[in-house]
Amino acid sequence: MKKIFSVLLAVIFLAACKKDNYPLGAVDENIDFFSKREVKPRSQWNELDYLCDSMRQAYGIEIIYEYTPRIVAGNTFFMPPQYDKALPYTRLVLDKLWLKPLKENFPEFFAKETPIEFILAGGYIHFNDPTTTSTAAGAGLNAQFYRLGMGGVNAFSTNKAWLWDHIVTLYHEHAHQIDHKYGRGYLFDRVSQGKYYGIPGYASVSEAQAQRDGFWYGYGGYAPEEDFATNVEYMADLPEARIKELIAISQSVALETKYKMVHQKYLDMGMDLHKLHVMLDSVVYKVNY
Amino acid sequence: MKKIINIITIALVVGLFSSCKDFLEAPYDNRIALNNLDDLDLVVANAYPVRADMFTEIMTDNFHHYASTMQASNAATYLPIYMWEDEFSDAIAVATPTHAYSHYYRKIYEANTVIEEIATASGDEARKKAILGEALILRAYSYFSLVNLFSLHYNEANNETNLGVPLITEVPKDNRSLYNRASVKQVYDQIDKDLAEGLSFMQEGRAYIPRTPYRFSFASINAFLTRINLYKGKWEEALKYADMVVAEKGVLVRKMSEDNTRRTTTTEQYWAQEIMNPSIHPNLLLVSQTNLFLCRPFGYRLGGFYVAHDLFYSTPASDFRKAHFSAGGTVIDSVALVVKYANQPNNPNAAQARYDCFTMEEVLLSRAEANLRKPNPDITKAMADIEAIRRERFTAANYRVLPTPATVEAALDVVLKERKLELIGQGFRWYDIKRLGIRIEHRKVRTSRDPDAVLEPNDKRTAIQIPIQARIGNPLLDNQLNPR
Amino acid sequence: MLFFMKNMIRFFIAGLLTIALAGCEKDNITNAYINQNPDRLDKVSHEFKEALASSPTGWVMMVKSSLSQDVYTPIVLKFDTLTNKVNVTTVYGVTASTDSFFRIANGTGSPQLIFTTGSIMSSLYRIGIQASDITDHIYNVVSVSPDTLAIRGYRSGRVYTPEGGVIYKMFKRPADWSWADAGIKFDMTSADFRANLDNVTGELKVENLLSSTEKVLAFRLISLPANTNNSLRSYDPFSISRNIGTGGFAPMNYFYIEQYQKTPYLNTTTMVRSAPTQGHNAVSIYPFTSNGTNNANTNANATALKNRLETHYLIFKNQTRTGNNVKMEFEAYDQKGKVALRAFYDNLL
Repeated sequence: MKKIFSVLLAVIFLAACKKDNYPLGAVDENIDFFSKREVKPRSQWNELDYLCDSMRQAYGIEIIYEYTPRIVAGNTFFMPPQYDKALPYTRLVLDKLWLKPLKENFPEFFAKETPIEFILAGGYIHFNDPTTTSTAAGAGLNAQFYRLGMGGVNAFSTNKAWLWDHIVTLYHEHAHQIDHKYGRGYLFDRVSQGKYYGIPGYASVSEAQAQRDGFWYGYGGYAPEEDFATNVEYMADLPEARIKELIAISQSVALETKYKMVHQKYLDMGMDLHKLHVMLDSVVYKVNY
Repeated sequence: MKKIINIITIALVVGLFSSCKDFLEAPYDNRIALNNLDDLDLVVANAYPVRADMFTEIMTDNFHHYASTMQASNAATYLPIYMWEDEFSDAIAVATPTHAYSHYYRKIYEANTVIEEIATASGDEARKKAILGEALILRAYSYFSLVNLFSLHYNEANNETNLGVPLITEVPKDNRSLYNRASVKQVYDQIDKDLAEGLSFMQEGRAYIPRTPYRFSFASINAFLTRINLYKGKWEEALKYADMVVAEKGVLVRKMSEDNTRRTTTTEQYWAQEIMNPSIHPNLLLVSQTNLFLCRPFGYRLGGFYVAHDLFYSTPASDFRKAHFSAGGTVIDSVALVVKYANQPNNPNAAQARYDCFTMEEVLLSRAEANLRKPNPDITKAMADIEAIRRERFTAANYRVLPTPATVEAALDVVLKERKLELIGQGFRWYDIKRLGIRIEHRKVRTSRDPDAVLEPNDKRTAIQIPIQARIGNPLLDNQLNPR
Repeated sequence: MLFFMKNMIRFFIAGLLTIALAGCEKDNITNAYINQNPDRLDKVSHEFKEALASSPTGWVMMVKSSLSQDVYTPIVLKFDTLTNKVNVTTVYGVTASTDSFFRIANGTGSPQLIFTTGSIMSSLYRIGIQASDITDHIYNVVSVSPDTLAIRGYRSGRVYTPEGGVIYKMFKRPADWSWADAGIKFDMTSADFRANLDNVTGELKVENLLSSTEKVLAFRLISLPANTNNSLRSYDPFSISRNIGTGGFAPMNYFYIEQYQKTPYLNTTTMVRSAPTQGHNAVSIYPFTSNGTNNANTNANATALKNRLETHYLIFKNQTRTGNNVKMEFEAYDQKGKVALRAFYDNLL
């Protein structure tokens, strides 16, 4: 008798409290929440949509020029690019200057470090307030592991200087992403520990002085984050000989140490930054678009 | 048969409940009886509160808010506090008014325990007095912290009517005692009384006063009295006590060049840790704590609150105090932390830190201010104290004596500006804002033209609201909230 | 004894059951409605799309600018639902001939109208309150009826502001709003248009229908030399070089307006000069203050003109030429798109 009661009680307790743990329905493991919610029907595709699709197949990267709520984070504000700028920008900057040569010359780096999404922003990236005009705006989006973006697409121009500056800045922003992803390393931070300029110091330092102090230019002397990114930027921007020459002129051990660290770090990831410079130089300056 | 069983059952039930009654009515007390002085000494050491008021820094003009680099979980707690709102999330349990309120009362409880138990304890009478005196001083210190956080500033005209905090001067004997708020005057009277008694007991037990920077000494008690009198606006008194501190310790301030050397030659972590190391720096009273990050909203890169841009821009790079502003992130973010304790860029839980309660710098700054506000102001003396600090804030090559201000007002400007810069990030600015009636604007977006909230001089919100948790524990407080 | 125990146990079980059941009682949050109506969003989206297509001349959104109290800025949106292109026309500048795209997407609970690429709509969002109260390029669709489409900005501005901006009730473009058509008729860059107009002092009679007041101004339009025009472009917050987030407008052109209020008893001869922008068949009196300029005077004078006219734009309705005489008619609208102000120009020749 007692046993029956016990069993009965146990059943009642267990059964009574059995409930659906997912009030909104069971989780469907097959749903890919990162997939596009609504794919634009092919019937509505324009030239850029076809281009983006072929680039997705060729490079595995989703190029985003049309904005939906999924694209923009709540506290970051940037404007979608104009279609007539986004089209030639994608064709020239993203395909011919960035992805195609990257895949051909640095296959390992390309395969592992290329973000899976790239966002085109018409203007620059504003933080906290979309209408602000008084402060600096970010050149690109770089804080997410899988997503890179560049601003200034509405200013797209085939002017060589613009193209050079833009592609070099792209590698600067990508370096921020690498920094977020892997960390620039404790030893890197130690090199110039305590010597960063902060604000407003960084803005008033001449390039030669900054190099004597161990930074490529004032901007890199702001804080370790920018120091790391400007190392990549300078190696992309200047030939190897010039880099070595500047280091020699500066007589800065810190500059040389950090240069070697960053160069080695990229080498380990499959990219010789000096070869990157040669490659960029050939695609930007040796070809007419 | 049935009846009998029924009766037995009823009797049993009644018996059960009645025996509960007595048990429930008797106050529950499982505390260890403290009866020897070594135990009581340990309780006193434990009754030192941490700097639970450190969070007030974000309510001042020392910091600005920047959303893009704030860890999302900090927003619900610290944004309302930054906007001087009464309600904030208690999801973060340290570095909030809720924590401060309960923490200081817990320490008052411990001080009260010592004050009560010492009477029956056996041991050396002089040592008893030393312990009792220290407990009284500690109780005064905790009440001073509470009344300055949760009440309007000391103002003799209104002290009798302004709400203070509940005064608990004995160990509660009931299960749950309820307390009304005393007036500001009553709280200050208690503080003054405890201090006077405590000081005389400590003098009697002088031989037993511990020689450690983590326990009150006569110098730090005098520094405490300097602060109390400065906050009260009793300039001559403040001067008197400040002079006593200086007489005992000499004008011995932090050599910041040494900090700076450590900053550039060792790790940032080590530098930060050593800033409050008592064997290196002449601090008057420190508290050490090992499990709470009291600078949470402004002490690490993702805290969300950073050095105000005007300070950031106006402090020259040659000033070592600028070196305590640790810039990071990207240039666009342009955010900087103030590193004074173990707070470091990437450490959201820098718990092992020493915090300062009293420093020679604060005493000198208070003395300089008192010298300017007393009936016959003395600009020379005031500037001498300022220069005593400034001399150690620059390299010898960079140090320049400030021009002597022509008027008392100008000198006061200099003194208050130095005070703000010297003590930034140390949790003292809020009280200056209260007592000096400084107007502050806070913006959620630092570039906004219009502020999102403004704290007017002597604003009612300078009395932080009694936290909800405290009201739940003591419902009487619901009818005694700070007026808004 | 046994009986008693049984009863006890029964009670006990009954009690337990009650507790067990009560303990599990809770508000069941379900999405049954949504599950049972899987097509709901698609239906509303479809309705919305049909409605957008139903007005071939487009829909009008009246937005508020900080420049005027009662006069609202009209935006005419022409949607091509086959190619997802949208044509945007408003008073601040001439619409560029580039493609702008929109999309109707299923949001949470309601469909969303998104201006997905750069257009005048994202420019207005970027510029802020001086041009409009638009706070996003994404809108939730609030209601759909044959004559009114209500949409609401998804975000309401900068960080920490609540979700949901201003609700706009869009109406079909009135038939007589031909100014919003593609052809530019008000064109100070055209010699034909300038004939007998450029640098000729005429008068402008302004009738404010809201306040039922009337005033007459001495009024002169003056074309600008190219270098002045170019330098103004570099200050213009709408120009891409100045404010790179924007797009959708063709390169701006400007002209001078000189005016003073005619008062019979005062012999005023001082003409106050300002430099408005040539809008899409409109005069746009837009001070460049938000971005700063080295000519504060220009801004002050633009503000003065706007205040005097009691509107920050004049939409060009028509022009009548009789011999040397030129007459022009202008309008400005209120929140509902009704005429709030009329202005009549006469070159007095």
